[in-house]
Amino acid sequence: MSSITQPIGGHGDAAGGHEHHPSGIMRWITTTNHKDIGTMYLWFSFTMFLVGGVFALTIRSELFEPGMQILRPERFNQLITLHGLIMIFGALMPGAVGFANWMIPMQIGAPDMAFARMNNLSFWLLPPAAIMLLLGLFVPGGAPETGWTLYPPLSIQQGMGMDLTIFAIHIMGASSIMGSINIITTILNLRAPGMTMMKMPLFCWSWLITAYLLIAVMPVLAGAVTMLLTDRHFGTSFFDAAGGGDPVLFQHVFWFFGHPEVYIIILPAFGLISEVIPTFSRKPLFGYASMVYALCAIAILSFLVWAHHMFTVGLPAAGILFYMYATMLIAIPTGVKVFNWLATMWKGSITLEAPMLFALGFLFLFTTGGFTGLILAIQPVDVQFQDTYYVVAHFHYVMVAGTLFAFFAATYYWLPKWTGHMYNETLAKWHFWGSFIFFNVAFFPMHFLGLAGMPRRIPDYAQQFTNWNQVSTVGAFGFGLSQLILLYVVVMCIRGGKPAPAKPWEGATSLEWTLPSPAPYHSFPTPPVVQ
Amino acid sequence: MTTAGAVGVPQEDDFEARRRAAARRTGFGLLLVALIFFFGFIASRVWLSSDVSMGVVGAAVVVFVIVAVGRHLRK
Repeated sequence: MSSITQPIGGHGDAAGGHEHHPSGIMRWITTTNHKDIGTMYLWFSFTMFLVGGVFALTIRSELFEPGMQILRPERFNQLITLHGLIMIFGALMPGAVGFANWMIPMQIGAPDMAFARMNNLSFWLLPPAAIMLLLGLFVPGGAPETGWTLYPPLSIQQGMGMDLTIFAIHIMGASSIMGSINIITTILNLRAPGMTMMKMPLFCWSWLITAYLLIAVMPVLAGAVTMLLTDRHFGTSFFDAAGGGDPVLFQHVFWFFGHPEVYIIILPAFGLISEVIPTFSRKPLFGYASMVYALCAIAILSFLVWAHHMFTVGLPAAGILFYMYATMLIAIPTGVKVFNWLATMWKGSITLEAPMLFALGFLFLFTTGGFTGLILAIQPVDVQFQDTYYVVAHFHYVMVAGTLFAFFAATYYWLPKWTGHMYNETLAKWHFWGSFIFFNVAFFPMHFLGLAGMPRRIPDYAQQFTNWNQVSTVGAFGFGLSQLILLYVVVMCIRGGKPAPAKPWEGATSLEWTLPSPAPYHSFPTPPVVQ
Repeated sequence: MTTAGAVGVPQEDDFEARRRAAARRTGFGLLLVALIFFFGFIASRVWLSSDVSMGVVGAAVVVFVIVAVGRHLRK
């Protein structure tokens, strides 16, 4: 990874820092500045995280006791669908793009993203798409009750909310593709002189690969939902068995998108963690090249395992074996990454500031989620656990404890660079411990519920599942409330606090730390030279 | 762009122009790939059976990712 830099012509703030940009609301609507757009992505992501979180808490409230309490069954299913779609397309993906927008140009020594106007458009497509998605709750028939997978035939039979969802996915997909084109182009063409690919910070590598994945799978998902739309309104029968179509094809196509999507969300998180752990271990990342190769291996393997989501639809035995072994194979490059993170910490001079705490939390919980994923990869086991709470526990350990904890780590890591102020370390640690403990209280019992046979996506359940459901609900509320600490810390940090030096973390080495804090509005107008 | 350099435009401008042109080429190339996957997937399903359609699109996507990612590993 690049570490020593020699900016040409001063410290890279030749534009003079914070002047020369519009103010007020027009700044945010018309901005083409990568930092402004990154900020908007991150706030949008956090807002959607809260909206999706409120849906989750409503779901957990309903599940606090058996029987129907506060929701009708169809509304329960609608909230399940929206919770999934909003968290994935509204919170996690835009969050990752927000970090990319803020950090990639600064990490590679570029003045901005390659296509600055398209960058603005990519962001501003998201709010209307999110509104469209949420509007489904208020139209006749409500939002889709299909879950985020939108399987036909149910999705063909749904009301107008389904059309809104399809259009929302189209718009969010277009936004993602534009964002990906921008990121790839920026990384390939705007790197500072001397920064070869194998000197790039691992966060940039992880996003380069993620962006390729997005360009590969998003159009396929868009094609599939377009065909769903024509099945609904234009008399085609791509997926409608009544007209000779093949509903299982949709499942194949969806998971051909859906499984790489998991890696689209987790790879940037890997990149973020690979920035944080070396910094707070005060050692270079162990096995940089193997980390890059592992990222590539994970990306490619992610396309070869999609049917492990469909072990119960009736695949041929050879297919089952292939997908089972291919899925297990992903554990190897993932294991390489976990090993390298541990080896980076080995004999390091470790300090446990909030970013490092979240990184360690990520490491522990993501690995737990990975192990349950291995268990689910075993087809005879998966047949038993299919559609139970065990699966819910598994993917929340990967998605929440994986991606979200990495986002929290990165937020605290770069907050001084973004705002120019140090955050409140004590409150940040409270945020970590609240998140870590309540996350486990919320999601670990779901393993027990799943093992006991409790099906997912149901608003009511048998009496014997009550206790663990109540524990899980208490944990979910605790986790939700813990996030308000983050909001408070970030707002306080923006408003003031102890001034942050250019490099607040002793072990940080990448290019963004050569800039003053807060990072100037126009950074690196003259590219630095990487030695 | 190279001619601009030849008639005396400062070298930095020439560098910037070349960089912008390279960025445009990369961007259009990627846009083209996305459009081909989108329309190619629908067209393959219209004209081919489910299995063949999935096989063709799947193989194309995997080859794209292998080539796209793999070519950067040598640098």
